[in-house]
Amino acid sequence: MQTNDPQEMLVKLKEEIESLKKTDPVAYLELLKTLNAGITKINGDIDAALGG
Amino acid sequence: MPMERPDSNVPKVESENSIEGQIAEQEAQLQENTKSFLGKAKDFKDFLFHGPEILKGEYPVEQSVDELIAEVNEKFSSRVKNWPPMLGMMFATFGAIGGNPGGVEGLQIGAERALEGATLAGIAVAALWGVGQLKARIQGRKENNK
Repeated sequence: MQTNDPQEMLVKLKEEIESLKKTDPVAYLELLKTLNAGITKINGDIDAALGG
Repeated sequence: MPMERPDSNVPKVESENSIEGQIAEQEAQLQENTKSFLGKAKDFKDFLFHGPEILKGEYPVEQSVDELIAEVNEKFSSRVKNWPPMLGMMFATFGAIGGNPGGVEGLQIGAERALEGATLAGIAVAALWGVGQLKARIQGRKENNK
């Protein structure tokens, strides 16, 4: 059952990511690269949508 | 005296250093990118926090889902489809990395400050979604490599 408590959900997320970094650093690095590529695109999309 | 082969121990150490260095570099870049994003995000707080609900048709607001989707689509076209899981991963990782803001507390404070008035539940759902997608992708890659 998925919790509705935001704080509890965030704690779980933190544990998930920290565990990934320790157990599979290559996968963690891939996650970081994916995120950076994604957020770069998102930032570009926002700029484009705002006409900036 | 036998000469040590260049491919015996050194490449392994270099490889580990390389991964650690790349991780540090990517973490720093993600923090900078996230700061930039948070500066822009306040204009899009409804979509950012309720992306998963919007896509599932469960957005609980006075504005109808159809109206909201039309508004979002008008601004972002098809690009919105990839945003919620991406945002979820970004925030989850940013919170895990630490820094300023860092950790769960930093994540919460940063999100609250950047997206004033929005609910953390929305972003937590998106984050869980994102981590789930990441796991599925990693698992799929491992199975493909077998």
